[in-house]
Formats: sequence, C-alpha cells, structure tokens
Amino acid sequence: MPVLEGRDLVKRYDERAALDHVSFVVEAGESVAIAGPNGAGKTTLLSMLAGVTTPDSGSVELPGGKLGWVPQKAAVYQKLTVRENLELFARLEKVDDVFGSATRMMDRIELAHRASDRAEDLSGGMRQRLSIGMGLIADPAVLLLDEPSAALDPLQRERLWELLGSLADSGIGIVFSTHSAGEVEGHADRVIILDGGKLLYDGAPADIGPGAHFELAFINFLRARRAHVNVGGDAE
Amino acid sequence: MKRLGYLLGKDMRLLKRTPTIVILLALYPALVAVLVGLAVGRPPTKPRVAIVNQVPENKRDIRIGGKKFDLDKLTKALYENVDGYNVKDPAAALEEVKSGDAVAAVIIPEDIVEQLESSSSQGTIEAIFDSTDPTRKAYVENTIKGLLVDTNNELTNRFTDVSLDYINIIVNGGEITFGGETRNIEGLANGADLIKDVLPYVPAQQRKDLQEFAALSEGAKQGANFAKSLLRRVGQPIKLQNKPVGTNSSLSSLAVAVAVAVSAMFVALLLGAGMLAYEQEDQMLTRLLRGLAPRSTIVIEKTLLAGICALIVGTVMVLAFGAFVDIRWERAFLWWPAIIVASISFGAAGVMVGAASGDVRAASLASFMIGLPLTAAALVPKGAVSDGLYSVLQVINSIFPFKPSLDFLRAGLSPGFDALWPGIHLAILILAYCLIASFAIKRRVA
Repeated sequence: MPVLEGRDLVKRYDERAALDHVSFVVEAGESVAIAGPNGAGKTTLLSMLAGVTTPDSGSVELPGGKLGWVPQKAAVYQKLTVRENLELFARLEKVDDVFGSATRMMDRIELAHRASDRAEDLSGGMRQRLSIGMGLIADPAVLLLDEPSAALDPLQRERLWELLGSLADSGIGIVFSTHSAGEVEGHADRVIILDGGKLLYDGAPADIGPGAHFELAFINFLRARRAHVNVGGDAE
Repeated sequence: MKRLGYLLGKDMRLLKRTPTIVILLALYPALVAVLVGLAVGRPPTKPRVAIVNQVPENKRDIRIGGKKFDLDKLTKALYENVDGYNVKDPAAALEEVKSGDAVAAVIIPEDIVEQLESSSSQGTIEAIFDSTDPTRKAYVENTIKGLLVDTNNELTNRFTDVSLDYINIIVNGGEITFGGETRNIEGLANGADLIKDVLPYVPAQQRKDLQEFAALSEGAKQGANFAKSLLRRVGQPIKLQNKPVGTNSSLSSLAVAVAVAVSAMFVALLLGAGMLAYEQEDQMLTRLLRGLAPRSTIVIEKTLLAGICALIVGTVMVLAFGAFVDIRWERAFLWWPAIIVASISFGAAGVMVGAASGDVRAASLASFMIGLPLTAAALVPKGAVSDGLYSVLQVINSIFPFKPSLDFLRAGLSPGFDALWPGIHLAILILAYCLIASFAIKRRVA
C-alpha cells in the first residue's frame, strides 16, 4: 500500500534545476534510500516531501496518512528535557494523549530512563533518537530522515539502524538520504539515485549494475550515465 | 492560537533555563535606571577650583578715582561660581591640578591691585589646568571663562561708577583729586552761564571766540549727559529676554524616556533576533514550518516574546525611576501603552534581523551594529548637523522604531506632545518588519 507519492516534482533556483520532473512511490514498511553526489537534489527532495519547501510544479500525496520529518542535525531543543521535547511536538501535532504518547515514544526510542534529562546532556546518538522520536510522535505512516547517521559513531549508527528497521517492520515507510553506499546496501529495500536534480535510478540496490559491491557499482553507474547525459555536478 | 501559546511557553522555559541571559536582562535595565536616575535626580556639583591669592591681606584695598574697593569682595564671585578653596602657593595649586583634586587652579598675583588701579593696563590672573584630555580641557576652559564673568561685571560696575562721578563733576562741577591735590571746579553747566554773564564786558573783537567757546561748552555738556547714559549700559549692552516656544518638557522626563527606550530596544532587539536565529541554528525552524506552525505564527510568537520581555524591563524601569524623579503616574494610561507598542516594535525589528541573519552570533552582532548608531542618530537635534545630513537622519529615523518610540514615550510622560502619529508610525513599522521577517524566513528555508 503506498504511503507517499511524489508526482513530477520540479524545483528551480533561478536557471538551475534542483529537481527535474521527479516521480516515485514509497510503500508501507518499505525502506527507501535517496542517494547521489553533493548537489544532486537529495535535501531539496526531502524538504519538498516534508512540506518545508513547495514545488514549482508537481505534487506530494500522502495516501497512508501523516508524515514525520527528521532534519539533518539532531534537531531538538537543547534546553528542554527529553519529555518536554516530545510533549511540545505532541501538542503541535495535536496528538490527543500528549503525556501517554510521549511516554510510549520514550520507551520506543529507549530514552525512558533519561526522561528528565535535558537534550544538551544526552550523547549524540541519544539526541538523534530523540529527534526521530519527535518525528514519530504523531504516528506517521512515513518517516523522512535527512542523513540520519551523519554525526554518529559506528555503535550509535548501528543502534539507529536497529530502531529504523523496527519502525519499517511495524509498517512505517522509511525514506532517508545518505552518502554511505554501505547504508544503502545494508538498510534500503530500494534506492533512488539523483544527479543534477534528475532521477537516474529507482530500484533495488543489487540491481544497479556491475561491481564487486554497491559502492563500486554506484560509481560505475554514475560514470556510465554521465557519459551519455550531461547532467553536471561532481560525484564524490 | 494554541500553537502560538505552546511556542511562547517553550521559549519562556528556554529563557528561564538560560540564567546568564536572564541576569543580564534584569541587571542591564536596573543599572541604566540607577545611573540615569542619579544623573537627573541630583543637581550637578560645582567643579573644584584651587585658588591662590598672593595679595597680602593688608593690601587688598583697590583705590580708583578716590574710591576704595575691597579685593576680597570682588573675588567672592570666584568662589561662588565654583567650589573654590584656598591653597598656599602656585606649587601647591599645580599639585592639586596634577592629582585631579581640582579641575583648575587660579592664581591671583601679588600686583593685581596695582594692575587694577593703573589706568594703562588690564588686571591679569593666571589659570592652570590639565590639557591632556581634550573633552576635559574644553569643559575647564568654559568653567574658567564662566567664573570670571561675574567678577568682571562687578569691576565694570565699579569702574562705571567712578567714570560717572568724573563726568558728573565735569558737567556740574565739584571737587576733584588729581595728582594728590584736591581742587574745586565749576563744571560745564556753570561755565556756560558764567561766559554768558561776562560776554557783554568782553571787547567785540574777542566776543566771537568766547561765544564759540560757550557753544562748545554747551555741546560738551550735552555730550557728557549722553556719555552718562551710555556708560550705564556698558556693563550689559544686550539684555537677554527668553521666550521659549513649544512644549515645556522637563529634563527628567526626557531622560526617563531615553533610558526606557534604549533598554527596551536592546532587550527586544537582541531577544527577537537571537531567539529566531536560535530556531534556525538548530534546524528547528524546518521542523516547525512543515505544517506545525506557519511562518506568520513563528514571527508573531517571537515578536511577542521579545516585546513582553522588553515591556517588563521598561515597566520596571519606570517604576524604579519613580524613586529618583517625578513620574506622572496619572498618565500611565498613555506611557504604559507607549512602552507596550515600543517594545513590540523593537521585538519585530529584532525578529527581522534574526530572520535575515541565520545564526545567533551574527544576529546579536547585527542587532548591536544596528541599534547603537540608530539610537545615536535619533538623538541628534536639528541644527547640530548640516541640513542635508539631518534630512538623511530623519529618513533613517523613520524606518527604525527608536525615534517614534522615544516620541511616544515622551508624549506619555509629559503633556503637550503628540502621541497619535508616533503610535501609528510604530504600528506601520511592526507590520512591515513582520512581513519582511516572514519573507526572509521563506527565502532561507526555500
């Protein structure tokens, strides 16, 4: 069952096309990675799907219900406690049972024992889990995450992916942007590859093309496409 | 509306948990209130001037035209215009100036009596002051000039009296002492009559010359009478008659208005800019803007937050000023709304700066860089700068809320000022700032 549909999305900044007629669908319980070199349009696409920026043309549909959004940095109020952060967003999301929702969410993100601690006193991984909890507080059908593991150490990263895996298993659609080929290979059911605002690939990571592993296959894929189409931008 | 309340509550909690900011917000206006209150609540003290009088006490009588004056009475004005005190010699006076105990020293030389009695020279006294600091130097020079005015006036009156006595004797006759010898002279008035009496007995050949001399005496008499009235006016040729126009506002109400406006401005500007930039810095803005709170709600919430804090500060300041100066409490219906509108306008300006800045440090720096010069610009009186520059300042003052806030506050604190236009002006600015802030946020997250 689709929980998120992007239809023919276009966004231009002056003459530059940040997104050029991008369309895709995310199913319930599916984990979709958005990959591509710097300036490919990943953050623009996620911001547009989240409703932060509006497309010049095209539309975003949410047939499955609400959408949760987790920005790139661990976006939490540092001076508020774990519970206060969750309760504030529960109120803003107009959740009926504010206290109960916050309590359940703290259990889910494994921060119940730090409920009264301020976010500034948490580790980076805990803050990221809190940020995800704030995105999940209204029980969304799909969760968008902009480079969720960027500032985490390997152990925290592993714990994060365990959490996101359990969310996908519970039927929530997960859409995340990443620079890591390992995360695409290890945690995504599908990968959407963008370059110069264009959608170049939408399919299983394993099907991208020849290569001993995904990273090599990804680079080969980008080189091959750029040889045919002049899309600009430098792959890293 | 509920979301605005949630965000406002959250920001109040954040502020409460940032004690440094709260302490600064509380201390800053308290300090300004006390300083301004002390400055306007007490009369200015007289500058201390060390005085060396080198004239021996038994030689302080000045004799001019047979009249005797007491030097001490003449120099009394020196002590009255300043906080004058005696020191023994010029070296001690110099030490007083060097140490800063006296702003200046005045040395009355031993021969001042001879100088004043002399018909060919002016009396001279010496002033010593520190010229290192140009501001202090200008102040001391003005003080010294001022303190001699009364002494010179007193001397002028005495000299005028002596001169008038001489003229009177020349016109009407009397005793005159010259070269230690006292003589009785007839005077021009009597002289002319005397000539008329003897004229018939003078040979016809010399009669014409004598008639001319009689006419000359008559002319001299009239000239002497004119000189008398002229001399009366020499001491004060121009008398100043003050005719103030416009509202009679006290210095204290202006000082209170300036202090409240400055404090409210910095509190609201820094808070409005800082709190909005803080939302952007932690990427919370993008979280809120995805349907949880529209741009308008965020802009209004931050404006209200900054405005409420500035309002508290402004109100506390006026209450604190009440201990030092007379506050028109019965006019609170006007000055309190003035503080409210001014605070909100500063808050809106701060939010606009914060929306354009992006991070807290840049927002704070921008607030100071904007606030300080624009406050100074609003306090420049007409005539202090060229017409062209003043016109430029007026344009700047019309797009920043300090001047209209100051005008509104003065209208609240003192009767006779227009409150309507500053109020409308501020309302227009608030609306414009909110629109610009909203647009800047849109540009930033797009």
